[in-house]
Amino acid sequence: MLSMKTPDPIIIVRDFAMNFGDQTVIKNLNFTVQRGETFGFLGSNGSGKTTTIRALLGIYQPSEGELLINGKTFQVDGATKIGYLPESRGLYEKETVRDVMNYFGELKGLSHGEATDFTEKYLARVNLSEYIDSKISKLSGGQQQKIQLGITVMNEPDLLILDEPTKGFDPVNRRLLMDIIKEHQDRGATVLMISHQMDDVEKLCDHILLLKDGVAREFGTVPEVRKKYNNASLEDIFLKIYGAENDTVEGAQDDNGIPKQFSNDKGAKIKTRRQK
Amino acid sequence: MTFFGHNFNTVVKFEVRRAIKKPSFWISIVAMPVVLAFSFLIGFFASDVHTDADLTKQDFSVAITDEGKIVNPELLKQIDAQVITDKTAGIDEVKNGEIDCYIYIPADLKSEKVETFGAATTNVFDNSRYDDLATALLKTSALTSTNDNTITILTDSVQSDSHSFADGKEINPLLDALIPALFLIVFFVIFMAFGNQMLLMTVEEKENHVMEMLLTTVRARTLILGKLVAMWLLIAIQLIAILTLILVTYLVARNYMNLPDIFAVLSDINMNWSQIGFGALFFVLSVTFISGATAAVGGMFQTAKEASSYFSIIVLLLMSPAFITGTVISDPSSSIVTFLTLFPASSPVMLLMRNALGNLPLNLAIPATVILAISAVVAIWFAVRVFQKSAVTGGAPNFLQKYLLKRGQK
Repeated sequence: MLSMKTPDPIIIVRDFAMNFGDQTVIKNLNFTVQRGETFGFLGSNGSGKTTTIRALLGIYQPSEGELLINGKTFQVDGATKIGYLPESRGLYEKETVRDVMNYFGELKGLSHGEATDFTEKYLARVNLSEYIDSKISKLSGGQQQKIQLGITVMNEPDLLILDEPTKGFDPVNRRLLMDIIKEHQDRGATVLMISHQMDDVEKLCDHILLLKDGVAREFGTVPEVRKKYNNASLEDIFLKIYGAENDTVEGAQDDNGIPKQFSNDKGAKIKTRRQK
Repeated sequence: MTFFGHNFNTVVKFEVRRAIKKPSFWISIVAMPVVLAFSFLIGFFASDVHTDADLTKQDFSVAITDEGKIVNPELLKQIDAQVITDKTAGIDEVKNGEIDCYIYIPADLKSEKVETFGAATTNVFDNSRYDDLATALLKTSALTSTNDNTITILTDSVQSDSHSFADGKEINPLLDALIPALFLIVFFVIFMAFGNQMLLMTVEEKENHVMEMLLTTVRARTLILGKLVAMWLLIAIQLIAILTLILVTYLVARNYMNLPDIFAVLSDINMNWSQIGFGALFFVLSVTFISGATAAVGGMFQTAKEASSYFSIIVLLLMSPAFITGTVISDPSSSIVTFLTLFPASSPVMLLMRNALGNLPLNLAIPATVILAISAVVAIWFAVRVFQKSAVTGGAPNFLQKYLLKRGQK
């Protein structure tokens, strides 16, 4: 285990391995995320970050090992309040903002009244009140991002999992996102964040883990990792670890994070925990 | 809701609520009675088509009273008809099941009607055979003599009235087939109104990239089951709304438009409860099977566009009985009709059609029902499974899709 010092882990990843066909994407990954901390999960495209998150959330069945949230495998039962902003994002385009946010609010355990209340307040905050009865398809990409962000946090989650949260955000929305993450940090939520924005990581994260080819390469607090590399910036450290190979890895996966040669149209057998 | 899973009710509520908010849902409620009326008219006119009977192939027992002395006695011998003088006795013989058909020919065809009284046939369209025989007898006879009556016959001015009997009671075969036929018509209308929606409901989340966000709040299995149940609820809502609309329109319009008393007409229907029961059973199984099969096709693909080309295969198979309607009526025991009655994809329409026509024997109805019930369960199971598989991986990683896609790429 890379970190066993703190006594209250919310996430435990133990001996996790993930194979797609004959290819091993994650090899013997171990880490813990402590309750209340912000954890940066870093790596080049195709290093296995999204796959790990999906396995953690029960979307994929791990080939080996276990991934626990609050001491148990994640189940969709509302017991753990999670806010997940996936890398692949979208909304029901033909429905109105109000209906979509209410629906997700209710799915996340809010009553209809609570969901409506949150929706109105949140839209006012992000200057989208006038669009409450507009169809999602009428909103710009940036406006849709704001809605997705609102949905992610509307149940005041104990654990926020953000997969490349700033992807596609303009500087204004990026600031908004950072403010919201900060608010949830302040109220004690745990944040697990995948990001390529090293300045955001340096500002927000307590611990970071750098994943390369499915193997943990570095783990520690930001100062600890930087110290190992003569106080280089995280961006320089990232470039040193991944270097030119980053280009070759890019695009080697399909939209779902599965290596292209094993993506479903080639017949990969991907197990999900929910295939019962 | 343990079986369906966490958040099942929320999914159902959302799917129902958003569907009934759409104008198209209510437009189809108004459009559906129009389609029903159109189908009924087609059926009505189709049933009014009479064919000239071939006297040499006539195979049922006949009695005749010919007060006008029009029919050639040689023809009566040829069809082995019993000649009787008392009309009441003739009708009684039909009622008692002693003969299949009694034909009454009045003395003056200009002012009186030819009447036929017949035992009800199992095939609703066969009831015209008595009328056809009477017409054939008159026309053939008219060619050999000339008087006022024969002129009336040859100018197609004969008025006729036919009566059918079953178990000693007069019935109206077309009216009695109305309720079993309604199951078929409503099934068609549902498929037209909801078929595409059934397909889209399984690809929508994938197409909009909303699936991954959903999967932390609801299981894929719960999501697809919630969508299917919502679809069935919407079908029920639509049917209730349509019936209410028809009833209210009738009640408002009947005084202004001098419409017939529909309640009196309905009370004349001789309820064949086993036929109605089978119709209801076939209807429920057919809707279940077709929604499962359509959802499974949608589940296999990432976009509606990809799915729709394969959906047309289901439509073609489902509608295949319509292409051989003539054979279903004229030769219901033929191999092709039997095969399509048992084959799951065509059996919904075939079973409903044959049940309405009254030519579905019990020894075929039972195995066909069992096959359709098993197919419905398998279709739902397959839809759930393929939806779970494709929920995140973006398409079904199964042999079927692989095969179809590879074929498509060649």
